[in-house]
Amino acid sequence: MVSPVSQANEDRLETVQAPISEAPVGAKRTPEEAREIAMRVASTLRCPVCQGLSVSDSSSTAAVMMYDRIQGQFEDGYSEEQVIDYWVARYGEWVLLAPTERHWIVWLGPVVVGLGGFVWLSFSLFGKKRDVAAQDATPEQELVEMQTEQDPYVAQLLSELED
Amino acid sequence: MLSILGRGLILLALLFATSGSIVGFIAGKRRSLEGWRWAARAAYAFGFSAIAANFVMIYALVTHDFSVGYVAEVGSRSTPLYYTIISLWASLNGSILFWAGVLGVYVTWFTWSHRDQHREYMPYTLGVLLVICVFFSILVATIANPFAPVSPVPMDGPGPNPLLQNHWLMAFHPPTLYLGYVGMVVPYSMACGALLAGRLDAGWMAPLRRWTLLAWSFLTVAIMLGGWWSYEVLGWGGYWAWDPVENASFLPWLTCTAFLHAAMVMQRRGTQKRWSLVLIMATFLLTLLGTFMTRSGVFNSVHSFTQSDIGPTFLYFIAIVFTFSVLLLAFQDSVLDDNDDFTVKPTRVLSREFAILLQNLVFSVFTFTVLLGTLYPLIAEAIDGTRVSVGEPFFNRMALPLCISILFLMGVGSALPWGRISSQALVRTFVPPVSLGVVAAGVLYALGYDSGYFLFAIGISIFALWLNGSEFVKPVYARMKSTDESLFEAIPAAFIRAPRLYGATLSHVGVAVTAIAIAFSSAYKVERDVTIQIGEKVEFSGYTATFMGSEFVKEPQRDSLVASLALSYKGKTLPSAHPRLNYYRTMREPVGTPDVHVQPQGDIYFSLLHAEPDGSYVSMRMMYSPFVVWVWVGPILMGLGALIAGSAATIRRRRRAGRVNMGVLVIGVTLVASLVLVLASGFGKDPKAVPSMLEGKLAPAFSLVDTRGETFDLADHRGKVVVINFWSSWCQPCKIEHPLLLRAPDVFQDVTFVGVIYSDETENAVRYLQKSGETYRHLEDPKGHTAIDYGVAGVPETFFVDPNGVIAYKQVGPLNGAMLTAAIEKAKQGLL
Repeated sequence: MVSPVSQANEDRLETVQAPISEAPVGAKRTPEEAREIAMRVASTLRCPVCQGLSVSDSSSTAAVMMYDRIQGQFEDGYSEEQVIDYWVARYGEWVLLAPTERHWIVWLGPVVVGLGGFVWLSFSLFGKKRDVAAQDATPEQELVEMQTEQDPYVAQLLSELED
Repeated sequence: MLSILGRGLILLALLFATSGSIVGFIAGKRRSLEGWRWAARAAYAFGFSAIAANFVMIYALVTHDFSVGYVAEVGSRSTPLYYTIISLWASLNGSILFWAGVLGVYVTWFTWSHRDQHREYMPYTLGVLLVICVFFSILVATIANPFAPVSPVPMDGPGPNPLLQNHWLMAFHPPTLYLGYVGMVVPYSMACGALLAGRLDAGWMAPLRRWTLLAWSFLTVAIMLGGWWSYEVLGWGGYWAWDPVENASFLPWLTCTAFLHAAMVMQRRGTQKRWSLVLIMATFLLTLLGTFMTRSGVFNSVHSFTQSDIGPTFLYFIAIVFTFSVLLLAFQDSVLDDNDDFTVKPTRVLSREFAILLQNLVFSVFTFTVLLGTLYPLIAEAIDGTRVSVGEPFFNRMALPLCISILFLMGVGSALPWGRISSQALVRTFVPPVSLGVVAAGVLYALGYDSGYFLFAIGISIFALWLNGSEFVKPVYARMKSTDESLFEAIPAAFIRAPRLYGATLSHVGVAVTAIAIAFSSAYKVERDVTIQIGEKVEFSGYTATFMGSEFVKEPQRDSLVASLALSYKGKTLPSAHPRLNYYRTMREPVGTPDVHVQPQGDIYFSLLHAEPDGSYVSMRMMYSPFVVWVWVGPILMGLGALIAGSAATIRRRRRAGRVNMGVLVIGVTLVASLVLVLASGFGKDPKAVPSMLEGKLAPAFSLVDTRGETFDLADHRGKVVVINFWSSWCQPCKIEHPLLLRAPDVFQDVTFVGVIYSDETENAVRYLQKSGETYRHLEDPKGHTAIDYGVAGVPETFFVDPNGVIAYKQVGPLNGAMLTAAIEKAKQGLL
C-alpha cells in the first residue's frame, strides 16, 4: 500500500511525535513525584481556551485535560525538556508563557534601558558637578552652601514642618 | 423618545466642547478675560449635557425602554435593579458614554475650582481639555452611539454579561477606574496649558500636583479593586495575572507615581521640569492606550468584555495626542529650563533628590518592561510571524528586582534629607531599620519560611516600613523638644503643619503593607483541587472542611447550585462556606462564585469547579492565602495618603525663553510612529488564535473506541485521505457544519471521515447524533489525549490527512462546501 516515494517522504519528515514515539529518558515516577514537576511545568504553559491563564491556574475543562496529559507524561518518565518540546510542537511557542531565549530582546531590553538610564543619570548629575565645581565654585557660593546646610538633619525636619 | 433626548444632549455636548475649545485657544492667545469666561461657560454646558445624557441612559435602563439601542443590548427584565443600573458600564457604548459623563464631572469641577485664578494658564488649559471632550463626544455621537433607536422594539433583552452581574464590586471597580483614568485628563491639559502659555511657575505646579494626586488615588484604589474582583469572581484564587488589561491600568499608575516624585524635585530644586512634564503627558497617553487595549480586540484579556470597531478611531486619537505632546515639548522647550541654582548646589549620592531620581529611573524601567512585555506578541508577529505569549512567569521574574529596588528606595528616600547627610546621622538613621529587617527575615526563617526571595522582600519591606513609619513620629518628637507642647498637643499640631509629609508617609506605609501581603500570599499560598462526596472531609493548613450537601436556587436571571461546607480550625467551628456555580441562560459553562472566608491572618477560599447535577459530589479548589486581605488594605492607605497630601500644597519660582529641542522631537516622533505601527499591526488578527503547527507533519497515531464500542485505528487507513473532525454537542459552530459533514461521505466515497468527540459527555454526543443524523463513525476521547496530540485548542477543528499519513491541511472553525472540496483535493495530491 505504501509507495516507495511516500516511504522516502516519510523518512524526510521531521517527526513531530518525538516525546511519544521516542522513549522516555528517565525512569517512571510515582504520581506524587510527577505532580510536583507537573505543577511547575503547568504553571509555565498557557491554557489555549483561556485568556492568558496558565494550565495550572485555569479550571477549564481543556486545562484539566492538559494537566492530566502533563502529569501522565511525567509519570511515564519523560524529561521536562521532552514534555515542553511536545507542547511546543503542537501549540507553537505561543504555549510558553515566558518567551524563549530566541526572544532575548524582551528579556534584555529592560536591563539595557535600566543600565543606560543609570549611566546617563549619573553622568548628567555628577559629570556636570565636576565641571561646575572646577569653573564656577567661588568662595561666596561655597559659603552659601555651607550656611544652608549646617545641620541637614535639623534642616530637613524644619523644612518639612514648614511644608 | 429617550433616544432623541439622549442623542440631542450628546450633540449639544459636542457643540459646546467644540466652541469652548476654540474660544479657549483664542482667549489664551489674546489674553482675553472675556474669552476665558465664555470658554468656562462652554465647559459648564458641556459638563451639564454629558452628565444629563448619562441620567437619560440610566432612566432608559431602569424603565426597560428597549427602543434605546444600548438597553436592547444589555438590558433584561429579569436583571435585578442594582445590576440594571450598573449595566451602564457593562458594555462598550455605555462605558464610553459613562466616560464622557465622568469627563463632564471633572471639567465642571476643574473649571469651577479655578474660576478666578491662574488667568494666564486657564484659557489654554480649558482649550486642551475641551478638545479631549470633543473626541469623546464624537465617539458617543457616532461609532459608539448608545442611543441608536431600535426598530422593531424587542420585548426583552439578553441582560449584561454574567461575569459582570456576579459581584457587588462591579459597582465600584469601573467607576473608580474611570475616575482615575479620566482624572489624568486634567493634569495633561494643565501641562499643555502651561507649555502653550509659555511659562511654568510654582503657582501652577501646586494645583497640577493636586489634581494628579486626586486621579492617582482613584487609580490606585481602582487597580486594587480590579484585583479584588478577579480574586472574588474568577475563581482561580489569584488577584493579578499580568493580563494585558491589568497591565494597561498599571502602566499609567507607574508613570504617574514617578511624576508625583519628580515633581517634588522640581519644586525643591527647580530642575527636572522637562522630565516631569514628559511623565504626566505619558500618563495620559497610557490611559488612552489602556482604553485601546481593553476595547480594540487587539489584545486577549479576561477583562475585555466587549470589542468593537472603535480601535482604529482610538488609534488615530492616540497618534494625534502623542504627536501634539511631542511637538509642544520640543517647541516650547525653553519654558522647561532648569532654574539657576542647580549649578550652585550639586546633587549628592546620599540625598533625597538622588533617591527620587533613581526611583524615577526604576519606575521608567518598570513601565518600559511592562509595555514591552505586553506589546511583544504584536512585535514578534510583525517581525517574523511567530505567535508568542508573554505571561506571568516573564513578568514575575522581571518585576521582582524592580519591586525590591522600589521598596529599598522608598525607605532610603524618605529617610535621607534634601542636600546632604552627616555620617553620624547616616548611622543613626539606618542602623535600626537594617537590623530590624534582618531580624524579621531571621525570625521568619526560623519559623520555617525558607524562600530566599521571600525573606529578602520581607526584610526590605520591614526596613522601608520602619523608615516611613518613623516619619510619623519624628515631627511630633521635634515639636515636643523645641516647644513645650505635650504629646496630645504636638500630634495634631505636627499633622496640621505637615499634611503633605503625613499623606506621603501614609501612602508609603500602604506600599509596604501591600508588598508584605503580596509576598506572603504569593509565596505561601496553599492550594488543593479535590473531588468530595457528601459527608467527606478534607484537611488543609489546619482547617477541616466537610461537604454537607448542595441545593439548587432559582433566581430570575440564573439558576445556582450552592454547596454547603462546614468549616473548622483545630476543632473550633467557623461559619460554614457556600461556594456556588451559577448557570446563566446565555452561557454554556457555569460561572462560579467562590466563597471567601476572610481573616486578617489569611483567607480560606473555596471555588467550585464542577458539580454533579444531583449534587452528590463536587470538585472544588481550596486555598489558604496568607494575609491576602492586606493586599486590599494597602492601596486604600495609599489612596488616602495621596488625598491628604493633595489637600495641601505650597511653592515658588521663575523662567526664560526660545528654541526647539531636537532631541525630544526626534525621539518623540520615533516613539509615536513605532507605537502606532505596532498597535495597528494587531488589527484584523485574532489574539486568541492558536498557531497551526502540525501541517506538513505526520499525523499523530491514535486508536480509539467509537460510540458503538468498536476500535478505530488511524494506521489502518493509510493510503486513503482521512478527514478527522473534532467536535462536541455543546458547540454552536459544529452545528453549522454538521449537515455538510453528514453528506460528505456520500460525495467523497474514497475518503474516510471520522469524528472525535472533544470535551463532552458521550451520552450527550450520542443523543445529539441520534437527533441530527450520523453517516460516519465518532470516536470517544475521554481524557482528550488525542485532541491534545493534535494540538486542538477549541472546536470544531478538522484535519485532512493525506494517503502518506501526513497532515495536509487544518481547518479551525466550521467548514463550508468549497473549503471541504479544496482541502480534500490538497490532501489527495499526497506529496509534500
